[in-house]
Parts: sequence; C-alpha cells; structure tokens
Amino acid sequence: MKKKYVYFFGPGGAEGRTDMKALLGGKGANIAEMTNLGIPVPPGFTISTEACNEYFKNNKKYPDGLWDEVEKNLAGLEDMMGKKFGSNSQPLLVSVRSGARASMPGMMDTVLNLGLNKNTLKGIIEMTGNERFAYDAYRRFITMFSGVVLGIKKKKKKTENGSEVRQGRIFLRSQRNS
Amino acid sequence: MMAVNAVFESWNNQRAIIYRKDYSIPDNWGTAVNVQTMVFGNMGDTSGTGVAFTRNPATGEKKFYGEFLMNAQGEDVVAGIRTPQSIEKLKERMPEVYESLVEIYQKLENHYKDMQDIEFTIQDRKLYMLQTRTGKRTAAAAVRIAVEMVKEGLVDKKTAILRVEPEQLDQLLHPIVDPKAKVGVIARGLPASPGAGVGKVVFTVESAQEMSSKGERVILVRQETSPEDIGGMNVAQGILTVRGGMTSHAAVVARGMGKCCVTGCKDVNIDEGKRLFKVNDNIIKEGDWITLDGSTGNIMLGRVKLIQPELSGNFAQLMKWADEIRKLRVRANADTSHDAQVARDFGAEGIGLCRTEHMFFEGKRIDAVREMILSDTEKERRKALAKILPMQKGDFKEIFKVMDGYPVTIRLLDPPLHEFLPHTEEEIEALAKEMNVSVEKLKAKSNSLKEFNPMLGHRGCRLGITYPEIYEMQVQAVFEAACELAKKGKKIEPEIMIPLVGHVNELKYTKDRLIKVADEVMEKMGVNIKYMVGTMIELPRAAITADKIAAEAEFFSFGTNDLTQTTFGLSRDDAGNFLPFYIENKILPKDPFVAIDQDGVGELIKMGVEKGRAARAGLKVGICGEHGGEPSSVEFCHKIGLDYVSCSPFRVPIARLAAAHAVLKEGRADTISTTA
Repeated sequence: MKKKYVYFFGPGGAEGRTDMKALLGGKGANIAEMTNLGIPVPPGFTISTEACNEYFKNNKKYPDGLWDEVEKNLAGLEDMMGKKFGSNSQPLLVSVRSGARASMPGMMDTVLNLGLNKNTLKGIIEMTGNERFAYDAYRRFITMFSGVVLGIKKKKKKTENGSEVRQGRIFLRSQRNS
Repeated sequence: MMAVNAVFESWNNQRAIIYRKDYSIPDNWGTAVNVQTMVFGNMGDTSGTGVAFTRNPATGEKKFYGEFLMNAQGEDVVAGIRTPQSIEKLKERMPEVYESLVEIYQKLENHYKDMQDIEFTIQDRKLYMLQTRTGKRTAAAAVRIAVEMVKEGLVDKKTAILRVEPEQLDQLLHPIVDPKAKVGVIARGLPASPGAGVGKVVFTVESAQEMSSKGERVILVRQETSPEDIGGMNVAQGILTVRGGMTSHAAVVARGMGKCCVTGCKDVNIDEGKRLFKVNDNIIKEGDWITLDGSTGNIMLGRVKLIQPELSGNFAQLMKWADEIRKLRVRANADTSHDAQVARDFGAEGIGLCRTEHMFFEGKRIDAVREMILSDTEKERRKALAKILPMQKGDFKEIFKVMDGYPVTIRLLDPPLHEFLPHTEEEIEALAKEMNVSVEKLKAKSNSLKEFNPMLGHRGCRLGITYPEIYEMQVQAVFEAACELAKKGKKIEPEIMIPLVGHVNELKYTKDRLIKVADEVMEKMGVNIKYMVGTMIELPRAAITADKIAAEAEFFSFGTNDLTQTTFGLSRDDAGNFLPFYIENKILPKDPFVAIDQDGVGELIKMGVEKGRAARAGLKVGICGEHGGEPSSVEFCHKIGLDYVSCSPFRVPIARLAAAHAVLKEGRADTISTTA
C-alpha cells in the first residue's frame, strides 16, 4: 500500500488522534482530537511530518502521491464547505500553518487567507457583503504571502511578542560562541 | 503549493534551527502542515479572536485566563499592535459565546487532564477552536497545578510528580526579580548561578566584609575570583566577574553557595584604583546599588524588587510525594554549618562531601596554614597544625550538630599546597613581612611547590602520605569533635574519605595511620563511635581496580568532576577554548561536566560499583560531583544502583524529584535516552 501523507478532519470525525503527534505534529494531532470530541473546529487536513522529511531527503521534491492526496483532500473540503478554492463566486480560503512534534512557538511560518486574489476578492465581497473585511483579509494575505512565501522582508520589524524570546535565544547562542 | 513549500522550508530557517538546538529537538522530526478552512475574526464587531489558558500559567491559579481582540485575525493578539482585552470582558460582550468557550475549555482540560493553552476565533457570534495544547508554565504554576489536580482527582500522584521537571525547580529555590518590576539592564554576562541579588557594589574582599559586618548588603565585583575571595563571596548577595565562564571559580563556588553569579561580562571595565566600574556610558561607583540576575545574566541599575522563594505548601506536598517514591538517598555537598543548615532545610539526608580545604582559608587560619607550609621540619609543621586543630574541631562540631545524626562524609585535604600561597609579587612581599621571613625564602618555597600540572600533581592522598601529620590532625579534629558530642548523647556517624586514591596501597597506608589516631582519640575520650573509612573514586585506575580497593574501603564516593577530567584527559579549567565548540558542533552530545558521560565515565562508575560490591557485600556507594544534582545523571545513578547522590544544597530538591522521576520512568518505553 502506498504511504498515507494526508489526514482529514471535519464534522463527522478526524483521521488523526492526539497520540499521533510524531506524524501530525502537535497542532495537527490536537485539532484531530478536538474534532473527534465534537468541539467546533474549522475542517481541513494535515500533511504529515513524514512528507516534510521526504521533501528534504528528495532534494526538495514532494514524495510520490503527496500532491494527489492534497488535491483529493482539498476537493473533499470544497464539497464539504460548498465552496471552491480559486473560484470567483464562492471562493474557499484556507490557512496554512506549521506544526512540529514539539511546540516551537513563533519559529516557523504561517500563511492565512490563502485563496485570495484580485478575482476571488470580488467573490468574498459578494459572499459577505462586507467590503472592509474583504480588503482587510486581502491586505493581510499580501503582507504574509510576500513575507513568508516570497521572502520579501518587512522594512522594520514590529515588536512581536515572540521577538523577545527569539532575541534571547540568539543571544544565548552567541554567548556560547564567545 | 508555494505555501506548503514555504512551511516545509521554514523548518530549516535560522531561528527554527537555533530553537531546536536550544531545546534539544532533533532536526529529523520535520514539521507537519495544517491546511484549514479560514474562519474570520475580522468580520466586524461580532467577530474576534483570542488565546487563553485553562489555568493561570504564571501562578497556577485555577482560573480561566486569557485575552481577546474584537474584529481581528489571529496574529493581531500576539503581535502586540493592538492591546487585547481580558477574557472576562468577553462575558459582557457576548455572554453566549463566553459560555460555550467555558464549556469547551473545561471539556478539554478534563479530557487532556492538564492545563491547556487554547486559541479560538469567533466569526459572527459563532465560536471555533483553532488549537489546544499543553500550556507552558512557570515552575510555580507547574507545582501548583500538579498538586491541585491530584486533589481534584484529575491525575494521580505519580502523574503529578512527572508533570514538574526537576530542572524547573531551580526557579523556585532562589529569589527572583519581580516580573512586574521596572528594570534598567545595563549589561549582560553569563548566567552562571541562578537567583537574583541586590546590593552595594564593592571591589575587594575587605570592603565586602567590612560593609557586610555593618549590616550592608553588597555585590562583589571582580575581574575574576580565586579561593582567597571566598570570604568576600560568602558575605555578598551576588558576584559579578568580568572574566570566566560557566565553570569558572566564581561560577562553581557561587552555585555551591546558592548565590547568584554573573560571569564573563566583558562590557564591565573595572577601575579598582578609582573604585568604580564603567559599562558603556554608565559609571558605577563603590557603594552604588546594583541588581544581578544570575538566571539571565542581566545586570541592572539600582535596587530592583525581588521575590523570595516559597518552599512550603504545594512545593512541600509535591516533594513529600517524590520522597515516598524515590529509592536514591539525597545528600548535600556542604563545607560549613551554614551550608549544612541550608542542606537540611532543602531535605538533604546527610553530607556526601564536606571539603576541608575551605576551612583552611577562612579568617586567621590561612596564616597558620601558610606557617605550616613554610616550615622545614615535621616538628614545625606539627606546631603550626596544632593551631589549626581547635578551629577544625569547632567546624566539625557545628556541622555534626546541624546534621543531627545524619551521616557526614569528610574529605581530607585535597588541593596542592601551593593553592594556599600568594601568587603576585605584592602579596608575597606582604606575607613575607607578616610571617617574618625573607621574600627570597618565601619565593623559593613557592617555586619549589610549583607544578606543571597541579591537577595531576602533589595533592589528595599523595599529600597525606608524604605529610602524614596533616591528615592526622584532621582525623584528630573529627574524632575529638564527634566524641565530645557523643558524650552529650548525640548520634554521630563520621565517614572519613581519602581523596585521589589510584592504588589500593595508597589507601591502606593512609587508612592504617588514621585508624590509629581515631582509636587513640576514642580511647582518651572514653567513647566509642561508629565510623567508616572510604575513598573517592576519581581516577580511572581506581574504578578499574575497585575490587582491590574495596578490600580496604568501606564506602566509595565517585568524584565525577575529577573522574570526568581524568577519563577524558582534559582539564576543566582549560576546556573553555574547545569544549563549547564541541557542544555546538555535536562532537560531544552534552557537556560532560554538566551531565555524566554515560558511555565513558558512566561505564567506569558501573564497573567500579560492580567490582566493589562483588568484593565487599553492602559497600556503600554514592557520587559527590556536581552531576549529583543534574536530572539525567541522577537517573543514571538510580539505574546502576547507587545508594545516594550528593549535590550542592540548592540542588537537593531537584535531585529528590529527579530520583522519583527515575523510579517512575523505569521500564517505560518513552524514556528519552539522555546520551542520544
């Protein structure tokens, strides 16, 4: 059997459980567990840590079958939500978040509002009737996508909560070097 | 696809790699990627987002604790761009949403049976949970939550014990800087010994002692410290040094004293002549107030408010449960009655290492010690030693009194004699004058004692064999002290420990003479005392020939600091130039002076225990290196069946909890190997 890389969660249950942290990461495993407990969690799917490890092993290429699985799960999610990723009328927006086995707060990247573009923006405005909201989401998406995915740095770093921790850690390391 | 790539890639971004290194997270774990339908907290005034803890993560109080922002998306709450509101406000704004949030958090806490850190979003009055995970917490909160959850019937005692990391307790055992205090950090050094201290700046031992005798609190600021500074360190609230690392003299001694210490602060420029130091643009004069934080390495201007440790209540309860479970005994390394008292307060069940050399430095004794060293004949030496005898006896008596029947292991003099002599030209001249000898003679003596490699030189039992009168005086002091107290009905159990034995003959030679002295004293005093004579195992040869040594030794105490040095063949004092590189580049998995090197040094200990016990049934075995208070090393000591560990007084609770963890983790599959 082919290796399973993607685990779905949504109303009616999740394929993962809390004790699958090694495979699904802390966040993925707990989202699955909450789903199974009947707690309201927005549906979606988790791509396993194995896929990430294969990606690095394969010289940054996806393992066989991973993208098929992602597309299948995305289609399932679209059906469930009655929306379509990239559609102009009923666009589905998703978040893409990291989630390692051990909590590493703020260390890795997240993209929110994925699925927004010039065209789908109109769909969101129609769907919600809330123009301010749609543009707010779009603005956030552009900032995040350009920063995280395209690697364009912000001019001046805002003081985040996490940045203090980060600086502290880097400082500790430099001490060891000295 | 690009977004998924980006998340994968972020596993190997610089900050994630550093974070993994700092928290020992393996690089091959990888990250998962969660693709999830967006819910929007930024859809207007009936939407919002927040984070919350099911109990207070700072104090552990059982009270829902969190923050939220209306009309906002996830990152806004943590980004600090807008100021979030306390979770109670949500109750006013959207009571029905608040109610379902409360219901969910209780469900989650009951399900996971631990404090949860949750993230939620409200989209147009509908609540969604985005994340739940075990909440990070302070040591104080960890202890309180663990104990209270047992009382609530959520978890059993064993789980509660495992919920608190032994190392975390360190935060509770020392005064800390009040997190609410406004502080002005002027520089940062290495966090060499945890806790915080407030005091007036002094630059010399003399002014430290003078000011403290007037009831002033002082911080000792030095280029670096040496054994002669002990007196000043003793009375200081904290120690700051310009040079030195985490294992420098100041760091090691301060940790032993449980005193905060910041070392290696290169930004500090001391001008001893003008009695001030400069840091960047700040000039701090003698007598100015500063605050040190030995847990972070921060140096702060002025008197910052500190919070004193609270060792009763939940803490005491948790420690009691740990004591019921652990099999290892926990003793402390203590050289003075003050240390012994601290050790008792922290629950030590004896002294595993009482170093007698520190007694040689204090006050006027150093003069008699120097007189002894400068003597040319045995007769003169004995005369000088006779002056030290009553002082040592007094020290032992005080320690025995405090330990009140618990065993006390006394290590006879260990360091080479030149450590007691002055080194600089000025000091030599001053001493020559004081001792009424010529500078030349003093220098000649000092030169004759000089060694190329003092660590492997004329020290330990080698000193005791060539100058038997030193050990004889020490044993006489021990037994006179013990006999006097025994006469008053006190129970005393001295254990005489002979250091640096490599060959059984060294032990036998020394032991025979010491027993004679002990017998003489007991006969003279008309008291019989139960005592033991044993040895430190700190040379590989001693471990390898442990069966032969056990024929003469009634107990072994593994001196793992020196055993690590001699096994690796590396001098700890000179390791600063390469050991950090080794750790950074994973040539060694851990600093072997912090955690026992189980594959090498540990194997020698194991061999020593097995051979020793095979030759002498019931041989008492413990360790007395700094490792005795390090959790992974304590676990190792439990596994190989030691009777006790001995560590600095302030680490006793850590060792007690770690010993309980060792029992609970035994045979469990998920025990993470500490050598991996």
